[in-house]
Amino acid sequence: MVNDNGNDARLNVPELVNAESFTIQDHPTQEPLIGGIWNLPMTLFSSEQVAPGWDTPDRSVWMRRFWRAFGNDMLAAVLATAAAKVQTQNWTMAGPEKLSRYYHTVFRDQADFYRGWGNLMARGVVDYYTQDNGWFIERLRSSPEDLSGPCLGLAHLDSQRMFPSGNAEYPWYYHSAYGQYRLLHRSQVIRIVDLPDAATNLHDSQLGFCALSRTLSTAIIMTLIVTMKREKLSDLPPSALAVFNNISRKQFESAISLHGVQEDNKGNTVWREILPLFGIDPQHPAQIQFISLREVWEGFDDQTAANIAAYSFAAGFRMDPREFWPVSAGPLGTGKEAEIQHQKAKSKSTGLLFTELERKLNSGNTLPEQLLFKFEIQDMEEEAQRAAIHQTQITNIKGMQDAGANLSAEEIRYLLVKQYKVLPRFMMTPPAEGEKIEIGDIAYYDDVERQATKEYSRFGRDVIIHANGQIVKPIGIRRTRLSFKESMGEHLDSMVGSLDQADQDIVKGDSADLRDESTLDSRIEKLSAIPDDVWDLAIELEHEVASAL
Amino acid sequence: MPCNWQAIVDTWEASRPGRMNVRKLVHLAMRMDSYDESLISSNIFKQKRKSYEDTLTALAIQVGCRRGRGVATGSVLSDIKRESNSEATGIVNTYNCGLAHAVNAIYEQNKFGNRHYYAKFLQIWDVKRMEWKSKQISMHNLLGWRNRATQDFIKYNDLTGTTELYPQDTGVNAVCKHWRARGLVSISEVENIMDDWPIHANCPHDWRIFVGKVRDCDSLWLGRDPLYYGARELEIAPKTDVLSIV
Repeated sequence: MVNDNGNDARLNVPELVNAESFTIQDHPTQEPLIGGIWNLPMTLFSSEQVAPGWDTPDRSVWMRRFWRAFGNDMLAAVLATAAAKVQTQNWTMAGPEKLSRYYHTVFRDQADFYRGWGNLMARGVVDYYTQDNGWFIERLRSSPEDLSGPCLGLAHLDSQRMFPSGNAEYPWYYHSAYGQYRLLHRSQVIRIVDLPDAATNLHDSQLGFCALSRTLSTAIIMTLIVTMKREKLSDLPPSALAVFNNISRKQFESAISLHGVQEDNKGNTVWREILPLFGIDPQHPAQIQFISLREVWEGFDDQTAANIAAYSFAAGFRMDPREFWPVSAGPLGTGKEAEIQHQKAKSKSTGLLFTELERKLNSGNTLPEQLLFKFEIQDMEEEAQRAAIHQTQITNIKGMQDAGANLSAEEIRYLLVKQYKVLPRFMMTPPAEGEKIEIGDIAYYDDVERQATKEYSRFGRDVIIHANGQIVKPIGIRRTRLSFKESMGEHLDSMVGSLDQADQDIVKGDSADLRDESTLDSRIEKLSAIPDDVWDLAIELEHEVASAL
Repeated sequence: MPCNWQAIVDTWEASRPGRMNVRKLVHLAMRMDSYDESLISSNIFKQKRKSYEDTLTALAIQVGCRRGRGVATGSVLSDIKRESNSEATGIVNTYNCGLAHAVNAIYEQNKFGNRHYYAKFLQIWDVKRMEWKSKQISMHNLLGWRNRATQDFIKYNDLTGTTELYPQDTGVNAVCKHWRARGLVSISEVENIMDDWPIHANCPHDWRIFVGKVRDCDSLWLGRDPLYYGARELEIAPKTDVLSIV
């Protein structure tokens, strides 16, 4: 939809003023909701500690309530850690400047109806880890009926309100807070499921087996242990049988009653005095014997139990236990072992989530094809491994040369670029004389192989915008020709060529001497050795000047 | 008028006086200084001297004397030294001026480039520039002092004959074209202006002389100071006499 000014009217929408008009979701206002948000079918026999079956519809509701239940401290901490990791992960938006700026704002500030990127991620991560149905995001367009226009925003969809339709084109129903069911087109929904079911099912409706499902037994045991400790430490009666010997029920109840009256008279509502019970027959002293119904087994160690739970949660959430629990010693917690686990976990848990998110957001239904959304994940271990592999590959090439392969520079370049991927692609063709490509941020950017097209050129030159708003303008794949005095050189060559051969040789030799004795290298070294702080100050000044202009 | 690179550098800090800016920093690191100047001076001194002495040697052979190698001494060496120093100063100044323009051009492409960005582009610029600049300097040294040696050889040996500007069929300069068109001319006609060549940038011309054989090779002047040869040399007509003849 290009207007007379050559601008895409939809992309020029400055902000989503009436965000609700773009979505199929209902949001509670001052009007009371019909039935309330929890008015969904419940299994009659579900209880706090017995989860509904994996594929039963009320499991999601139970799960959402369960992880917030008393005693689930460690589970909640794991979830909070996972959410924080995703929320705080820096990302970049790369592409034409105007488009990048627009979608950077859409993602960072306007996402989830102006709640922002952090909110969208936190809600989504909780659904991803606690709901077998997965994480749903709605792509907002100019209207719910617009299925092919540019995506103008993202909003969280409550996983519990999503039901499969069985239709490939419109695979999901959204169950409105007002009780209506609305069909969603596949282009309107992003869904990320943890460990999806392999069984044949309705279109796009495979349930996953979320992290909470994978650690449910551990979580339930932890809630029981915490509950038991609470009972032990508080004045609440423990879950037990009380056997009274040599005292009648009437005597006990009257003693309780009398004690209560006396304490009330004294005004002791919190700190009460000891309840006295008197036996009548000295031969048969009054006794109350407790037979506890909730006991830990012999040899139970609280710390070991907590550690095992931490490892169980870590495995279930594909995380490093050290991220939420201070594992420091023991056969599973030595420094080296924990380090290895940490490195492995980094690429498993949130790494999986980041990859999925990047794919969905860059799929073409969300961002224009010229934009690239990317999480900035730096894995030192992986980079070191890659460097070692590259080293081996370069050594291989050297070995081939030594063995008489006699590879040309072009052939070696081909191996390094195409085969081994040691060099970025744009170095496949060596720069022409007088031209040079700067290898900096662009090396990363070049990886996307998104060529600037005329269609997108009106959105400005390519930039990379970080989540925090920092804009990097790559100096680019753009090749630069320096203004040499080419004509001067050519003319001179013809003049030198007119000399006698002997004179030409003298000029050639003398000029080579002049060049050899040039101090260029030392001056380049001097330039490269300018201290960082001095250079930073100078660059800072350039930024000041640029902003002042 | 020599380029004033300092003025260019000063304009860079006009907006923020007293603070180090990127271009100034790069120029400061990359500019040629007195050390570079002394290296260049020393190098072109050697080239000029060699050209002068080789020419004398070749001319001696041309007049039938294989008496030894030409030698530059005394006032000639002083002239070579003075000219080398002066030209080295000019080369360094021209370089620093070109560097200022190059830094500016590179800066305009990317105002926030890092040190390596500047280093890479300036390296290309320098290498490319030196490729032709060094040839230009070397050709100037070779031909300039060849003409001076020819002039001195004629003057101190009192030779007569003809001469012409070489090589043929080249020349973009009006003066070169004029003398090329004249073809062979009397030595006495151009003796005093021979050392003006090369008279323009990239001028490839030198004067080739055509003289007879010398009978007394022992007294052939090959670069020593005129006083070295005693009274005979004192009788040689100075330049002013030649001018008066012309």
